[in-house]
Amino acid sequence: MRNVTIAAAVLLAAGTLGGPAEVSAQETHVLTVVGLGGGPEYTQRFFDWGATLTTSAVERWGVRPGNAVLLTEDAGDPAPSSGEARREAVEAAVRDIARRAGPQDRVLVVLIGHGTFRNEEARFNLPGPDMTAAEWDALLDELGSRRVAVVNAASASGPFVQALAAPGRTVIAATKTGRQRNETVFGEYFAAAFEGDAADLDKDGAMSLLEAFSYAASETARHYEEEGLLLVENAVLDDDGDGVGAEEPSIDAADGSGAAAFILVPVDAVALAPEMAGDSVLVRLVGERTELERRIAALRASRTTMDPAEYDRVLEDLLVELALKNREVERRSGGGGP
Amino acid sequence: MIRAPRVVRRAPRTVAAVWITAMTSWSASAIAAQAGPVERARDHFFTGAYDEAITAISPASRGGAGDPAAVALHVRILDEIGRWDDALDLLGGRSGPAPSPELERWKGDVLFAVGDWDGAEAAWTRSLEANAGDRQTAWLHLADLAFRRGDVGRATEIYDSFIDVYNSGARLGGEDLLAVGHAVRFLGRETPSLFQDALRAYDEAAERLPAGDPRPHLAAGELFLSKYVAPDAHAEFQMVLEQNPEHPDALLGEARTLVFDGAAGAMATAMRALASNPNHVGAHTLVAEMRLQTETPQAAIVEADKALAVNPASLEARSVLAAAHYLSGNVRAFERERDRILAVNPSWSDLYVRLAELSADSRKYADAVRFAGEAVERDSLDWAAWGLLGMNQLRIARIAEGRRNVERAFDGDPFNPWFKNTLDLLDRMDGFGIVSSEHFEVHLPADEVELLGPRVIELAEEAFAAMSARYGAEPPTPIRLEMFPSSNDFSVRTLGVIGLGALGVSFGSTLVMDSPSARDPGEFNWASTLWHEIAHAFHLAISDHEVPRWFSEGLAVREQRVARPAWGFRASPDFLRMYATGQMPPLSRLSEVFVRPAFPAQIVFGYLQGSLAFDWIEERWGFPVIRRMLDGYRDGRTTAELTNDLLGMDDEELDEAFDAYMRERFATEIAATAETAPTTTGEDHPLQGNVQPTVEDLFVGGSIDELRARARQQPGNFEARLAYGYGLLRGENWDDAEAEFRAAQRLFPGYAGPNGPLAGLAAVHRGRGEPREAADALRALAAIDESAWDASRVEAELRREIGDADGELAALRRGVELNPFDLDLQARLGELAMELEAWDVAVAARRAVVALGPVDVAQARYELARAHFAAGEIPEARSAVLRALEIAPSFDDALDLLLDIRAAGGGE
Repeated sequence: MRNVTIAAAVLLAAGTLGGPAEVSAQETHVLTVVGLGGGPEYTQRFFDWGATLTTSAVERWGVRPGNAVLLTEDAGDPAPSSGEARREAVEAAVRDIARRAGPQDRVLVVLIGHGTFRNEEARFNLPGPDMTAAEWDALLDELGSRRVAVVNAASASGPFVQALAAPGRTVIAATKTGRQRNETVFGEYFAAAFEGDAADLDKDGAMSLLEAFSYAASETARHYEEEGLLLVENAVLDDDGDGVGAEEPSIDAADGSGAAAFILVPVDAVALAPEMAGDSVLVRLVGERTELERRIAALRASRTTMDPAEYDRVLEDLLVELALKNREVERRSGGGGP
Repeated sequence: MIRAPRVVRRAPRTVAAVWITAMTSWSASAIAAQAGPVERARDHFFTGAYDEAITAISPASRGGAGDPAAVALHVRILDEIGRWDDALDLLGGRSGPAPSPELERWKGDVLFAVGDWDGAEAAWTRSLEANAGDRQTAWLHLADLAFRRGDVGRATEIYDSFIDVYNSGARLGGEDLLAVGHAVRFLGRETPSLFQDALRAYDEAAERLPAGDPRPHLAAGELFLSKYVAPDAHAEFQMVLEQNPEHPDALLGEARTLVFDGAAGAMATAMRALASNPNHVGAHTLVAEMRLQTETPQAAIVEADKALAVNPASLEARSVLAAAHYLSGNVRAFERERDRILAVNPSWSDLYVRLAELSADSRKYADAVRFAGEAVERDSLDWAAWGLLGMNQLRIARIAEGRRNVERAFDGDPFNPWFKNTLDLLDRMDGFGIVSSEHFEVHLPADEVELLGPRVIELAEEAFAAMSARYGAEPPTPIRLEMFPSSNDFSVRTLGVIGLGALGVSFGSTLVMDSPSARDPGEFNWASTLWHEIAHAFHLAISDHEVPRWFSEGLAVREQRVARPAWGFRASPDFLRMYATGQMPPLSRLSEVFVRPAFPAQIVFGYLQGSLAFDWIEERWGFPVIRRMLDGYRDGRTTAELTNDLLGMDDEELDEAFDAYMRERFATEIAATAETAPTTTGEDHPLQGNVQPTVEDLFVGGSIDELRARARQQPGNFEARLAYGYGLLRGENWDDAEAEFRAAQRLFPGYAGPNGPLAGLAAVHRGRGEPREAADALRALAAIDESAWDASRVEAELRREIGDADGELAALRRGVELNPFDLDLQARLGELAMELEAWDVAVAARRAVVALGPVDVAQARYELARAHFAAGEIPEARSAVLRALEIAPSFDDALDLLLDIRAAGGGE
């Protein structure tokens, strides 16, 4: 129930307040490409990550099954694999999205596997011929002006950031440079981010790309620390198209604001309609709640200029109002509550 | 700020190359030596064949009436081996001029060596007036003498003139170049770049002196040592010793280098120097200093007296004598010697530098500050004194002054790595956070304050309360505790250099130690270490810093065990073998192992042996006796006097009685470990206490059949049974392995090393699917191993598996105590504590989770708020939930909790 009301809030935010969230009858397309494993252990591991991501996108976040495509190393791989990750299949999958997707749709492309960087050229290893960063860039250009995010979770993926950077495109790489050639674990945690709620860091019921990145980067660092290894994976995110990835992107920064707005939640106005249609009270309540959230955000922005005790007092009052409003919304929308 | 330390380095033409050239040409000259007695004698002399050299030169020197060059060489040979009376016979006796003006410089040197400064001055002056060939050296020595008399201006003026000598363009001989090097080295006090020039002069001297002359290398070695480049100093001295293995000055230089490095063998090397030259004042003085470091001032006095019998004017020897009197509490004798020194040279800062160093060695840091302050008053260019002043001020928490004085020292001596390291560390410490309590001021890295601060304060106050009650006294407060996330930083804070193997140090009411983040989990128990250091603060305060090292260390380990039975070092097979075979000194001489251990592990064994002594004393005489001993040290009494009065035993009786106690207490273990050779006596013990053999050690060369045979042959041998047990374990022969482990456990019940019988039993039980029994074995292990982090972690998993929530909670608490940085353990502990309504535990664990910076900060803060709320800590709950909602305003559960908190009266 919470997801629906949150989605409604997002709809209102976009429609009435001009907030950052991207909404409309948008759909999200997720193409996950699992490349060459190079051995049974990696093949299985990479398949599992890709399957987790694809399944979570559909089952947890409501991506339409037809919009979540997983290509894997072997044509005989079980579902959710829908085919072999050969170059031709990858190209076909991208072109299919380009053909089917609406102009407001979002496209998330995730590459899981091994990469190489030789002679100043970065590649993602596929069964059969590999694809260079430049080739990926050219292929993604076929998606036109749609909102695109690319996550290369492979080793030596850093150069993809510069190669794929473009306005309106978020590029994430598991490694900062092409010299980081060891196998990566970023992909595991990136996929895991979509599995449950742990990566929903602001608890708004929506999963943004920035949250998934932050979760995966933190867990990767923790993995290395726990294993007593030197951290050789420094994931980066580029949002502003300058080709320089940030290791610590944030919602307020040039690198991070776009990823924060890239939300996987299916914000489908049609799906919301039955609950909102004809219920002006619910619409008002949600609007009031959204206004409270806006005031809280504004208060946070002025924190450093306020007396801490006064800040806490005002914050608490607003939050209590929000909590009470929340309960009203839930009661009105049939969610019950105290 | 980046400080670039200077390093005295050679110019591209290396000394090795010079030396090779010298050796080559010297070999050639050996052939040519057949031509004359001087060359032949010199060749013998340079190789240390002193008798042959004297035999060869005597016909030419003719009792002083011969060729001056021959007489000079003869004198030089006698000078090197300390036969100054014979040398003076050649030079026309103690008074009056030398037989030739060319010998006046040598006469001055010999008279100076025996303490006749006026005679020396007259001889050197005659050399100058006669325009002798080596008058520059006489001129230099007049400067040395002026400096020793405190006429620094006159000395500096003369030294300064050597720059003109060098820059005149004249081709200087080797002797003159040595003099130039010596002079500019002195001037380096004010202009550090001149040290490099001194080295160049020595190199040039080596080229121009007769091949094989060791003096340029000795001078370069001394220079390197004075500039803290011990490896290069060692190389220089070794080059001389390769040619003449018993060269007294080279041996002394090598001994001083070993002292500098804290390496073994310094005393033996100094003794070799004395064997070559029994009258070597420098060697006697060094031996005396080493005696002081081993807290045996009476022996130091004997040695200093020997030096002064040879040269009553030696300011260095008299300084050590004064220090020895001071440290032995003989104030009148100290003042007498001090006054004699200052009457000769009121600017002689060396006396106070030595006193400051020895005071610091004896943990009397306030005294060290006082003496170093006196030193800089007397000589404002004594950079070592400024550094000592600053470093010791830092040790007694006079941070601002200390930093200022170390900066001053580094400005004057930019070669000093201690000063540089310390200043760099102080820069880093600017970013530390501070947590305070009634008795403590804890300095922690900013990112560790939130996690460690509360627990450190809690434990420190617990220790303070426990020891205040036990000792009936308190150290000065606040006690400043600094915890470092890097062992290197801890080492620099303690010594100025990295490499200290210890975990913590007490300077009195200033404690410094490794943070738990400085080492891998399970490497050490920071809480136990903290308790140990706080114990030192009590011991030092009560005894007014007079307590001997062995006493304080042993008693501090004893305090660890009193606080928590699992804490502190435990007897290991190696220790008992060493003890039983007489490789540990008796109790009355235990201090030796802390200063000059015979093998690296001996220091750790010293802590342990000392602590066992206090087990014995407290058990037999009661704690009040120990307390009275601390008072006795404060009153200037010696250990021998105190044990005699309070225990009723002299040294011999004490040692015998303690030995009997040890052999009775550990009779089973000694018998069970006697037959195996020690495996870890010498090298590579990165941690104190980690000295037990691993199972891999035990397995060396052992097949299961061999292990079985050995266990059958030696059923009473702990390691044989243990090794066989692990062999069986590898073969999953659970039942037989269990029998071996139980046998090993009976043979050495307190074994707390890695892969012992309890760890083996845990593995057996896990193999057989008996999680409860496995958990019990691990708990038993944690009860005797203070660092058993992994055992506690695994035990927690096993307890969870069998649904033993209370047992799991206890194991988790042990685990997070050892490794507060384990996010998973902290999170699980918080969750379980909430289930068990152990609110204070839950709050601490959840506070730790927040401090560890989890990915999901909002969730972590919300859970902390829940714990506070459950514990009835409403204001804390409100604060925590606000912080959670600040990040995630839509967080339903947190919003609900906020309403609950408001309802409970937590709103503003």
